[in-house]
Amino acid sequence: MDDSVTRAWGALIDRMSGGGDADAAIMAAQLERAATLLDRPAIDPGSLFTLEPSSYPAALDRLAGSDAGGEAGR
Amino acid sequence: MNDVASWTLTEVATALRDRTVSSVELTSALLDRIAAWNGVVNAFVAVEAETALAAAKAADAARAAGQPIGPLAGIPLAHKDMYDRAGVVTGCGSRIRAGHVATETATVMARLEAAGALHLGRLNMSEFALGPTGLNAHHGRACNPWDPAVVTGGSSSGSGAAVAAGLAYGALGSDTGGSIRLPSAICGIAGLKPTQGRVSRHGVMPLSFSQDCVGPMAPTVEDVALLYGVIAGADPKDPTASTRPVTVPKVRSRLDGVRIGLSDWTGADFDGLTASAHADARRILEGLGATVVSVEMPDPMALGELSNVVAMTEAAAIHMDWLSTRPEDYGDQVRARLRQGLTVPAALYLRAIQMRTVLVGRIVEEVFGRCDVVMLPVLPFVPPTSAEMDGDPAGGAAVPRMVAVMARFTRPISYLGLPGLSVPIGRSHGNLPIGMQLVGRPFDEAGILSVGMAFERAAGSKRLLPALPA
Repeated sequence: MDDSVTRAWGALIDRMSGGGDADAAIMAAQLERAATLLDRPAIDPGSLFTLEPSSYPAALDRLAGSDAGGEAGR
Repeated sequence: MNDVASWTLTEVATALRDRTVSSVELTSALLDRIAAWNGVVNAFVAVEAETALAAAKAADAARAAGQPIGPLAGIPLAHKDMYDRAGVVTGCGSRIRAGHVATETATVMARLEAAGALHLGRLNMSEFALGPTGLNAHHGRACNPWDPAVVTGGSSSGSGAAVAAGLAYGALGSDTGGSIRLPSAICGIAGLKPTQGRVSRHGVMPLSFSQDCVGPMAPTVEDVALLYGVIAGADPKDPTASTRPVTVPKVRSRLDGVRIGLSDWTGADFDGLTASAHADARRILEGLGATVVSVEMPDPMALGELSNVVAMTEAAAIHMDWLSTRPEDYGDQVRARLRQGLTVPAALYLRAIQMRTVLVGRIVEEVFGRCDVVMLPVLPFVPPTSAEMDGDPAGGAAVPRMVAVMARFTRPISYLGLPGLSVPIGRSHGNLPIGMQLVGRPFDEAGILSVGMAFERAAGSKRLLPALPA
């Protein structure tokens, strides 16, 4: 990620979080990790068009099926 | 009378029902024990002796009068200091909320009270439930009763220490990335992180609303199942709470037909003692008739990073105003971690939220298509000392690495929203506890509790109490 973006971001976060002792190195590392994750083709990006964040509880409920539990819970 | 502190919650419930002990006797014994031990373990931040004894007398009177009473009538519990009770302080392990008096009672507290449970006091925790070791800049860390130099695990540090030391028969913790499972395993007790949405969060301090779960910690899995049955289920006050029916399984003597998935989540630092304890546990499960199959889980480190992105971003959003107006009132490490959350791009956060639906679908199909329960470590090594893990209290660059190491096998399960149960399985050479993690399908708490209870019965697990240091 571009250094100037990191610096500008760091300054913004510094203001938002009360200023003072922001650890720019940690923030830069966080941004670097974020960029890596965004670049990682973990799933078909096309499938993301069908997902909205609020769908997760419904997804868990659907995956549990009508009778939660297999042999272990009987 | 035997030392009542060594009884399990289930044994205490039976003894009260049989009237071989009174609630006043139990409560008095635990208050005496708290007085002797709390200076060592720092588990309680506030003890409510008078109200606990008054409630114990009332419970005994109700029982003697033959009045209807709940399954926890007269049993002394204590909880992580983040559950609101009307008129009582909820401090959240912080300076910022130290004087906050709740106006309403959390649903889980109301359910425990309706079942007859007593409150012994408020328990220590990582500040705002942020930290896997139990470090707390304001109250001091809770110490492991098996060795005070060793971490308790966090963030439900006081819950782990209090139950393990015999200062309470059970406790609620909360789990966003391992905060019930880690202190349970490290302190040698059982703990359940339910499925996301299984237990109401009304009146509970939030950390990460996509991953926060309320769950019980207690001496045995059977005890945990008893508490789980009381607190779980739909709640009109929490729209995110599931309406699915709650099942509490009975103890099984056999596990014939149950398939246990053994994953390859171990790593180079999976030490010999921990590996040996897991191998023994596997043999016990096979001896009960379970079949062990190999399963492939996604990279835990990648899942852990996604979990961290979600947790830190949501936590930063919750704390944004206080970070700006009262930064000096946070501990250094907590403030630094929350500030990191402010740096996460919104698109990355939303991608992490979207991806978990895809990933949990794959896991249910590919992993739980082959097995009923997955067996994982909670921690890949014997419990470390605070000096080893908390060397950077100021929140420097070592902290994200420490968090990733401690929570390597717990954060992924939180991210996926699956139920996870920590079960004691052995001891290290220094008598430090080792635990395994049983993970189930969404809403299959009954499955993992059933396997955990059968295991502890077959293993002949007895409740052990530590000796008070000289």
